[in-house]
Amino acid sequence: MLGKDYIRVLHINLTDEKVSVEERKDLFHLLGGTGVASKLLEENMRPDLPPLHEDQPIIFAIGPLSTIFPVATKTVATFISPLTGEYGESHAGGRSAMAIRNAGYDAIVITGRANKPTYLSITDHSVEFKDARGLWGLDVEETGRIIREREGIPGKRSIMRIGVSGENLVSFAGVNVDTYRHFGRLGLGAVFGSKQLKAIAITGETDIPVTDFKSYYSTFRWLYKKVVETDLMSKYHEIGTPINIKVLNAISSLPTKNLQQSTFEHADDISGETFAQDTLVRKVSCVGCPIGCIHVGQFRRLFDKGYEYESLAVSYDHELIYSLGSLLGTPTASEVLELIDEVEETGLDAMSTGVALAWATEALEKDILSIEQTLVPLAFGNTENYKKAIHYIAERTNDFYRTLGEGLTHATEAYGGKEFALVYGGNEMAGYHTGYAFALGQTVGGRHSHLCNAGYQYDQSAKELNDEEIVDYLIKEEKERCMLTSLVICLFARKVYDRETVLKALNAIDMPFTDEDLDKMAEETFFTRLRIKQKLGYSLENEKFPKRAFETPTRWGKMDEERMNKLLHMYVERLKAEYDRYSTAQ
Amino acid sequence: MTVTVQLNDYFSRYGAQSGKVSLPDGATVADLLSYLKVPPSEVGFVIKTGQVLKETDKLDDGDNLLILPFAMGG
Amino acid sequence: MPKILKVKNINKCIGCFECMIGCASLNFHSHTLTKSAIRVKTKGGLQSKFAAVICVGCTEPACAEACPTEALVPRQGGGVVFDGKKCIGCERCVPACIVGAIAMDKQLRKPIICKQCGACAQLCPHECLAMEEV
Repeated sequence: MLGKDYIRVLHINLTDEKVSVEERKDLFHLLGGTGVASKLLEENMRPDLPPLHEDQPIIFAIGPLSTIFPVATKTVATFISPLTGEYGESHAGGRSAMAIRNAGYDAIVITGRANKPTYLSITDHSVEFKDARGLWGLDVEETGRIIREREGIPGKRSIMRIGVSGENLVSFAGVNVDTYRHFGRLGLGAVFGSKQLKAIAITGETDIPVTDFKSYYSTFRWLYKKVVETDLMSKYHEIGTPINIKVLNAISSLPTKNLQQSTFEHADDISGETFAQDTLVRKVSCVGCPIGCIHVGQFRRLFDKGYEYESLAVSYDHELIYSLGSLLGTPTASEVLELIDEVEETGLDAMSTGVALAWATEALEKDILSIEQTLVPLAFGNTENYKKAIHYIAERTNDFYRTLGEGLTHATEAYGGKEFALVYGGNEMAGYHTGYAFALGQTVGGRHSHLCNAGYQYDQSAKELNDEEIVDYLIKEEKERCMLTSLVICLFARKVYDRETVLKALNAIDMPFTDEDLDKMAEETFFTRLRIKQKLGYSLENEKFPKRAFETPTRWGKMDEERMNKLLHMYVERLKAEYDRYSTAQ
Repeated sequence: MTVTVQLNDYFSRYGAQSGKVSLPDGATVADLLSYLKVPPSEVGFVIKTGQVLKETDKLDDGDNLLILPFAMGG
Repeated sequence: MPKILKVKNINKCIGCFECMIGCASLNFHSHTLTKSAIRVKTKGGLQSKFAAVICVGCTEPACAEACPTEALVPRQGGGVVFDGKKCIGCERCVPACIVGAIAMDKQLRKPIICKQCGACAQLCPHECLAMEEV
């Protein structure tokens, strides 16, 4: 809590509608975000029960810098992932962190299961359990509109909600936050669905006094200048992350048509430059971020004769253009936007959805699947059929789509085709076929995200590949990111928030942490995540890489499977040694 | 010698422009970048016919070069 | 010359709310966004663009006219100067402001009044706001 020496945790039980608040001094050294949310997950989870059991918790946490310093915009959610069965962590921005702060909490723990569809209304003075039976079955946009008309202070509230995919417990359903932001990856939406929790509206006006005005305001202004007036972040505003499409295409790293290729003949047609020139109508921000990285593209489509057009405004970024674009062979920017819109409304994770559909397309080509199963002739570049298939996944239309909705690990156990299923660490791959560090990084990352340790950066910037160096880099980077996502800053701002800056910001709000304190909390958080994974029965040693990864060139040419397995082995050994050292020191 | 340079949009902020560049014989990739006044730390890849070049690689007359930033993420 | 806050081009607004974060902390020493004299919100309606509700710096301020205690008095160049010690919290200034720029501080029971200090304009990354000489 700002100005206090504890973390203020709100506990909500959906089963008996009981609410309590605790002040946790013992968590204060973990800052917030990942540090606090992982610890609260470890305390509240039930390793003996399945991920979607009602006793499993959902945790949200913000951090000390949230909202009050530039680009500290995100809320961290932790849960047990229905996709992987182990540690789940996902981050979202929008207005969520601001709303939780103004409601007066640092963290929220939700357990139990409502006896009917429910949404939560959390304010600075109450928690209400509201009837959401009429909302069950509605899409994300409509759900948002209705709750917006009923709850909170305009501009000062945040609304998280699930679509049909979350209600139907699709293992990679996400939670949409406000407009255009999401808790994606690993299936938080299904955890909401399993609790009959359709949405959470949060708002508040808790008065949080500035403790040391001079120190805070000057540091705030200094950081604002650093963000706005230097080159550190402008690239995220300009073309934004979709600048990657042309780059990755030129260095054989753009996963295309289920990674049968790593270059795409239509790369120029779906490049960031094309999106900007032909579709971009607006850029917006999360609260507390002067960058404006959320790129909104617009397209129109005919829905009836007589020039009856509808127009849709959809946000796009690299991961979506990869997963619903190049990976599915989608040839134009407007078709990519159409697919994004379908994923948005059904509340699915875009990456897992694209990867699942790309696999299904190839499996159908190879006669592993039949059209009776896929219902439509899935084919690379056929947007209309993919639009239908997205709904089939969300609605779990038949046995095949029901199984596909469990994720590719499950689907390949049922149907085969594992060798071309693009899964790393149980999670569908992100859009960087750059080489060993990416592939290893997503596999070993605490939340199996490319953002855990940014292996794709190593692959790009290394002058030559060095296996020891890759392992060192991934571990070091992941620890540092454990600290950054505890503050909680958006990882786009990681170059702004070097150690000196972090310490200065913390000092300005009367949190005199030292470099050593940050090292310690980063290590503790890194190993808490690891311990949770172990308790949930996860072991890195069982990880296998998809054959396809070795058949298609990366920036470093084709990867060698043996070397990749050796790297994984090295990583596992290093981790064991580090964990032993850490445990002994405790 | 003369090489043809195609710069990604990303580099427009540095005022560098695509087009033909004259360089002394034996010039390297690093020489080209310094001529273009593009900060080397911002350059991800210099590509010639699909191959990523090193900073120390020598250029040849008539080369077509594509200059790209790093792909970014979080 | 005194300056007055103007909304220049709200279509460039990205909704970062730095103006509010800055105003609340500078003028009201609070991290609470509702304690900002400038309020950015979505317009509602078909396009849902942003709107910035600000003190427009009236030269004949209706809020001051409505104030029974002279806690609000006209400021040279436009707008008002607020003296919290004289304020009894009657809230008459709130409906008097036709642009809806005055909100109440619920804890202090005093109106949140713009000082025309220009901090919000300095914190706008897209020059949607500016201080202009009157």
